[in-house]
Amino acid sequence: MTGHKDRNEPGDVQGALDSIQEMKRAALWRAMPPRWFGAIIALIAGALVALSVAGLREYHVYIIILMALVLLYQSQKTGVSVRQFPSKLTAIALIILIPLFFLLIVVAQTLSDRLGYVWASLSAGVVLAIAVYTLSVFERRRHLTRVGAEKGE
Amino acid sequence: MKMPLFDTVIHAPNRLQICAFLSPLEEAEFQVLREELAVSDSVLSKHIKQLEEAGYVRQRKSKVNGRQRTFACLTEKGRKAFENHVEELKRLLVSDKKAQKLTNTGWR
Repeated sequence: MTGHKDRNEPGDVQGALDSIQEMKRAALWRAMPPRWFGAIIALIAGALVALSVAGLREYHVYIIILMALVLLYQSQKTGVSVRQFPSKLTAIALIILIPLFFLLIVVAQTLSDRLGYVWASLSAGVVLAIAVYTLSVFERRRHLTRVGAEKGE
Repeated sequence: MKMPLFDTVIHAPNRLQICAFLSPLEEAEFQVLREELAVSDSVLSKHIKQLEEAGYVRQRKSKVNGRQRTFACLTEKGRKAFENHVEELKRLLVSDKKAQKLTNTGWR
């Protein structure tokens, strides 16, 4: 591998490095889910809790199928899968979401005598939907920062 | 075996772009790569084949909704070779800038 330095003008090397950054940014940009994705997942998670509190567990299967379809549609639409693990904070938040899911069901069922089934289930659904949506916004921002970092590198 | 820093297999513009696009990803669909590189199917296939022969890229075929889809990903060897190549390009750029500076200040 000798003589490469002679064959590569500084402009060529700079051009190659610029092209690398441009393609990395394009890849990350393509992998970024749209805004509606986080909102839909949040709504579906909220609906799952609301139905559990309301005792309508027979509808769970439809909600789970809907979630699977949304995830499948998103992965097929982008055509790429990102090589990135969630941040430590997001991983912790995801772990917290699972007990929060069950906790909300228990609390809402306890409060349903006072609030009524409709309000208790709706409130629990809204709380989980907000939590999931906040997490999706946080992850989206982190991804955007990474795209920006590739641009400015 | 010591991996060469400046990799002639990777350095060709289209192959460099393919590796750069795949580097932050787990895998990408063939069609997506074609759109991003703005090349024909045959050109992309040729470059992917060359990268595959060097052991830098792996292809996977999958049937989705009755349609055959091809996905490509960088292998560990390819990822390492690409990283080394980028480092070498950066090193070349820095040394070129230093040489340019010396020329401008009349040292050469």
